[in-house]
Amino acid sequence: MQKFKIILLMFFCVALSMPLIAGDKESYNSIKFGAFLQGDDDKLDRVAEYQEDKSSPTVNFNFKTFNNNSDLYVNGNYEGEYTNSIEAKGNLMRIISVDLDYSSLFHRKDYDTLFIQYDKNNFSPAVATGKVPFVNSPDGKVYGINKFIADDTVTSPGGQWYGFEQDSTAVNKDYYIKRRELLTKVSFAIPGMETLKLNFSGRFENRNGYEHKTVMVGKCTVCHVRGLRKNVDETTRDLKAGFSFTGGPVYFSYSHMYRDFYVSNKPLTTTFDNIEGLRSSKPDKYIVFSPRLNSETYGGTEEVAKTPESDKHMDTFKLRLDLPYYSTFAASYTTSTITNNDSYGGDNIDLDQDALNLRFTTHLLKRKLTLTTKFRYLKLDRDTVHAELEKDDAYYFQPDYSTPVNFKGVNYNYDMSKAYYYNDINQPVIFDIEGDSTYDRKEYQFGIDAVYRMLRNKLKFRLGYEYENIDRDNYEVYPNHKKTEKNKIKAGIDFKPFMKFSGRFKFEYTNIDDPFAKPKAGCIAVTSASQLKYGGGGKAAYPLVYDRRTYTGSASPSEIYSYSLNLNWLAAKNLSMNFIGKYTDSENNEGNTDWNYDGLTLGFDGTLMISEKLSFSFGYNFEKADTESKISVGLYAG
Amino acid sequence: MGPGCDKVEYSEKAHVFMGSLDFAPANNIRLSLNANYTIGKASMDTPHFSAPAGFLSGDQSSSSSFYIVYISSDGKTLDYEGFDDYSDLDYTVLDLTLNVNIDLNKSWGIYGVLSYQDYEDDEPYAYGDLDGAYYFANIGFQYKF
Repeated sequence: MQKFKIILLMFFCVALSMPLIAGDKESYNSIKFGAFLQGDDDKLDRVAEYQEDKSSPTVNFNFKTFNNNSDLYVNGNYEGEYTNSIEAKGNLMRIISVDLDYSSLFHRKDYDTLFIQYDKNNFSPAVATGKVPFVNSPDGKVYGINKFIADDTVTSPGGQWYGFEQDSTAVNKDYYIKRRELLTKVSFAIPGMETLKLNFSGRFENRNGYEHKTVMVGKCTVCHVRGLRKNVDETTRDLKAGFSFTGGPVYFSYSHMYRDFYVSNKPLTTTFDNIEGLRSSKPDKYIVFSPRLNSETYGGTEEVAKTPESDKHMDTFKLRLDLPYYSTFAASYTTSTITNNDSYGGDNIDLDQDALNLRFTTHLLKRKLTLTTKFRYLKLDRDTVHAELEKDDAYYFQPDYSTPVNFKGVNYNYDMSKAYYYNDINQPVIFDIEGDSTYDRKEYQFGIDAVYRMLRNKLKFRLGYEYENIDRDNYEVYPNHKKTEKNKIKAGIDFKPFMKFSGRFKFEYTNIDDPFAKPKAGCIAVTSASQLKYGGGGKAAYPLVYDRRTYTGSASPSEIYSYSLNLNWLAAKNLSMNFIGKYTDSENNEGNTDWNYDGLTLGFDGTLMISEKLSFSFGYNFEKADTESKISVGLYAG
Repeated sequence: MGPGCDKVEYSEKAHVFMGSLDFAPANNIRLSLNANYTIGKASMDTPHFSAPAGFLSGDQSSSSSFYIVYISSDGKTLDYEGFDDYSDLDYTVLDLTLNVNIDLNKSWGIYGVLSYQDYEDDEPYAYGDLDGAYYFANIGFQYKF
């Protein structure tokens, strides 16, 4: 049916192109028809990521016809059910112009094997040759990545000793997305008011297929992962209306866009692991884990990997003025609201965004000097999120620590005065928080660039400066620091000492004060085992993992030095060569961060015209990047 | 349990070779051959996390021990040997494409595209060994009017 619709649309456009324009006209038309034949060997994931593995008849056509006032252009391509496109552009008497563009794309998606490539049956402490760490626990079992059942059917969901498990519906299946998009644009010029145009446009995009999702289903999440197959059927629709005015030196436009995103696929659900651990004989009072799990359905089924439905309203204003002295001024302002219609608890969450861009360009000193200044302001403001698990839904327990807890023959005396997970031990745990968004911020950016032509096309100097300020409302990149400031200076030179040789050298230095960082990323060195438990031997001390992560860590630079060189050489009448080189040195030693990056790119290419009937092009690129960074991991047991 | 921290280096290298040849052996025949060959490699250092004394003296077989038991052969670090393998990359990509256009007369012509792509994966990671080859031919007639 889909194929029939596409072919129908193609022929509709072809039919339209024939009689639409009467009178004297010129036409350039062509049709191709043939076959697409294909074959493969082994995996297609990388060699045919955007290719259907089907042979198919092919059709391609181009029609172009025009006269003084009107024109029509139609291009279509069919190479398979989901590899096709059609574009039609028409202009009638310069009053109405129409642009239709349909395309579809096949995209093969990845499948996470969950470590299937490693030995899945012989991994145990006795043969500690595996690729991942494992942990011991009091009950004698080895938890974590000790048992691999990927590609096996999961017969008992909830078996927490399975570190990584593949759902039976996910194994040996295809994963792909078929994407279809239709763009339409219509413009009307009002007769008698040629300076005014009414503009309407629409966009329809659908993603349909299957994606592999991994979800954490256990109490120690990173070591308990399940692979699932998710059906995807997601649609985005845009509608846009506005007008534009062009009169003398003034151009002004306004548009309003409405976008909605909705999901038609069946929800994906999975069963979460039961909470096991100490005192597992009393499943309603899991002492160790219950208070820290914010799920309503541990041991039950819940929807996962859900994409929230949303809509968006956006207003856009644009202004451009042509001023004396070859100067131009351009401004744009957008204000938008994105609403998440699927947020937890049923309250819709709005994200408001306002952005202002200004740019002024002028030419001075008999046009030898070009100055460009720019300013940008951005404001993001999201509603506060209120998340709450009701008492009836939440797992909670009334602690009872009057007697030691015996588990597998070991007595555990819990000293709740040192418990980290309670403020009031007599109250049940109810998850009830209000969260402000880390999106909320104001950003300011200012820049000025100057280009001075000293010897016309032979020598140019470039200088520039940029300042950026990101002022976050609710996120501290470092203790008591919510602001990031960037200062960048740029210098460059364009040179052409000979007719056949030219080049450009650029240098940039950027200083970033308090770059983006993650507080409590890590990492206080452990000097004694006693630091990892509280109150004496043998007690679980999970909260200590987080208590000891107090250092701010960053993988963003605080200083960047960048150098680039481009050379162009016309070595002979029939031989041209180009060289590019770029080196970037970045580092961040603020606080406890110890991060640096070195990047080098070198390349050359050339074209040799041996004769009018024979030419040869060649090229080589080399890229090297070294990144040094601290990594921090939480080490768990149980 | 507890945090472990170490500074590690991640290195990436890529070589890309490109070549193309355009040839018209006759006035009505045009050939175009494009070849690209890419070598990509990446590797990460093995992280070593400092181990406190208590860890080293911990009884690995004790049923009451919560300690990390994966200790390296030198007995001094929490050894994550092999962990870094997940970040290693070593692959080559070969991409060959031949375009042929033959004009039979002013209106009619023959076209053809032959393509071959090969991916060799010597350091599989999360998605498994992705070795594979794909080839296609797109051939047919063209009519201009």
